[in-house]
Amino acid sequence: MEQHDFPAILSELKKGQKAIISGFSNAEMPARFFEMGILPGVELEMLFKAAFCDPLCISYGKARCCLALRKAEAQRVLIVPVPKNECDKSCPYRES
Amino acid sequence: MIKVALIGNPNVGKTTLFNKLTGLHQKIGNYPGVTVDKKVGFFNHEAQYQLTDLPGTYSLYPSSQDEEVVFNILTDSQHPDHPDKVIVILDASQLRRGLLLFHQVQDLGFPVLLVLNMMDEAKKKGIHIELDRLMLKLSVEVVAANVRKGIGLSQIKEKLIHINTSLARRSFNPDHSYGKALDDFRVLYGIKNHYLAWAHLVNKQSPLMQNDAQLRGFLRKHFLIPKRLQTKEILMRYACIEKDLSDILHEQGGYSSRSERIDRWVTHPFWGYLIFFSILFFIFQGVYTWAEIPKSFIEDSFSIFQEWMHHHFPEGPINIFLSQGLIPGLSAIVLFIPQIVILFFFLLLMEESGYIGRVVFLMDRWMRPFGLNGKSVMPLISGVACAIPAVMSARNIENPRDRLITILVTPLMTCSARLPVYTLMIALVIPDKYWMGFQLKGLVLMIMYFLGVLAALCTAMVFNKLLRRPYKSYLIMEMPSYKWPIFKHILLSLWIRLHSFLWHSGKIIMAVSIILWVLSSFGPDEVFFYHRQETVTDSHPIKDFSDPLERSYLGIIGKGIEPVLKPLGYDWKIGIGLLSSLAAREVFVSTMASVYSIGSTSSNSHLEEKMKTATRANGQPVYDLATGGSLMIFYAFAMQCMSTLTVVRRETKSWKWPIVQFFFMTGMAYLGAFAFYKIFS
Repeated sequence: MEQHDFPAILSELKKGQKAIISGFSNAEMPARFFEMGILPGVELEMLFKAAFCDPLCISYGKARCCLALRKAEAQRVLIVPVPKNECDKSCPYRES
Repeated sequence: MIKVALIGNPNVGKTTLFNKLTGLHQKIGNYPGVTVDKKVGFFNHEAQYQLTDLPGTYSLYPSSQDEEVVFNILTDSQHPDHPDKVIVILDASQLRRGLLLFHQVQDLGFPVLLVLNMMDEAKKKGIHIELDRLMLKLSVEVVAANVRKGIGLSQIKEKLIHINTSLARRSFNPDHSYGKALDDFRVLYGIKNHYLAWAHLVNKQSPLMQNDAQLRGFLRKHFLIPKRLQTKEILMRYACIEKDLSDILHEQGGYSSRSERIDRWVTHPFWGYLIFFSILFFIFQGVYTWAEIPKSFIEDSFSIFQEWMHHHFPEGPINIFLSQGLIPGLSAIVLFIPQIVILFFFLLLMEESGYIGRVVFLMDRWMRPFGLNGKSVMPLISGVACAIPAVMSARNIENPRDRLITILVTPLMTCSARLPVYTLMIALVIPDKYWMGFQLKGLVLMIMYFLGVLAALCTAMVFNKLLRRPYKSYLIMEMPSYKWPIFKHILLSLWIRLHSFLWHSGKIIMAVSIILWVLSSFGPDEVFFYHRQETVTDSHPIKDFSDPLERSYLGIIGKGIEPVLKPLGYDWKIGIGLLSSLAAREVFVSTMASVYSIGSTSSNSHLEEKMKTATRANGQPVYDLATGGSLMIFYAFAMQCMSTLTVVRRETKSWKWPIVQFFFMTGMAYLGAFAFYKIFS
């Protein structure tokens, strides 16, 4: 069960991949992230990463705004990846 | 006078709107107790308005010192800047995020005017907003604008008169589970407005709440955790905004494809750095080569003016004071202008176009081990040209702690004023030889530059350990899409910064120059300024005094501090050079020229000859490797620049930090020079 359902974390998302925020890990997240609209259910895309994958740049929400954040914070964002083709029902992540 | 506060997210054109509304009728002051600039401007439109530009923020609840100012001004009705009306400006493409802040402000009970900025950009991105319905839904006057292009400004002024509280407002209504606690709280503190009470509950930094055992008891009794309340509020508000906007906001597309194409190169782990360093290389070429022309022009015109003044004023002390004390002091200030203007022009260009965000992105990881962040990069690098604009450019760093560290260490970077000292010393003590195929002199100069960088980074690390952290350090930065810069805006910002330098630091530079002139012109025995040669060769306050210098107060002080300088290998002549270069480092060279009685400072080769043949009592040359090297080390670390200190005072709003900076840098310089001298002598 852990293998498939365990949500990935934002920092592991690859360039160009999309995902939906499912929650945040226990560590305290600065309130600023919520204020910026990084909330559960919001879709995001990894745009590009700097050297050592830190910091990284995502676009998120319906407004697709472009935001840079550090790996330390990105590691606390839990995500459910969205398959490239959104109609693709066979993706194991969609079961949950 | 109607007080209006301007509030909005960072990077939504808030300052542009402020500048457009008030033009040059603005002044920069302080908020008491914090190091935050208070920008106030004035304009007339049927009534007199006082407009305050509040620091950019995403919500009412502060996560930095700047944002505390926002909270305090808006929630404390006794605050002198508490506004009568509020303009909330937001980016039309980031409607949700802006509305979060808007709702908070509106719920506090202010009459609000909502400005949707960058409308045409939003349209290009495929975003369509039904303004009429938005107005009804939010019960607020809305102006669609493009502030950069000046669209919507007259409408903003027009509507500002008419907004008032009469519009029906939807007030904040948290979960019923908090209703009882909130009512109790309002009674306890006598707060009428529901949301105001809630905001005080949420914000731990609220001045009303600090050290309040009563509040802690209250929170415990009702099982309230401020941070949870804050998260709850944000979630509720976003849910509400999403519902409101469902039939008002129509969007498609997103992050501009042009920006995406540019970013593919500009943020690339290899090409990105290459592009960045090429741009830097270009800027420094510019600063060094282009600044030379106006610089020599300023020097020339000041010396002509000085000459003219000297001949056309009646002989006497006033004449001497004006031509040798005041004018050189004035020119010492004006001389910095070309460098400041050129460097800031490029920095503002990078800022206006949106490139600076990419620099922060690329450099953040590399600066973190030193307790700095990506935003410290530009100030540090600018420090290689001149610490004054560099310290001023640290304003972009929002985190006050990171900003302070950056300001404290920036003067350690090898600024261009150190160059004349280094070149003189290298010419004196470094042999004209090759080492592993490199010219030794050039190599030493390069080592001095590296030493500056190393010193800056290491000190940053030390400060990082010493200074307490009031707010957690994290990076969350919007990457703005690229824009064509508008030159008028750059020029206005340039002027505001230049003005602040001339006005605030100019006074002090002037005072120090005059004091140094007085000390070097007067002595206990006689007044000898009449005997001084009147040749004017450059703009520095101290020049062309031969013998009398030894008998002047400055000379006496120089001799007085000789015992302190002896362990470093310096004699009293160098001591005078060190003292007089407190005004600016390069003054050392001209002072040395005077000390060694050379009529003109323009011929450095003569000076070198003289200094080379200078000997100590025991017949050894004064300028050997030990002394020369020790002097270079001293200049690398020492805070020999009054102008920088005054700018640091201005930027940190207290004398505490420039004093700390002066002592730790001079201490480092003394120890470093001492160690070097001991090892090599």
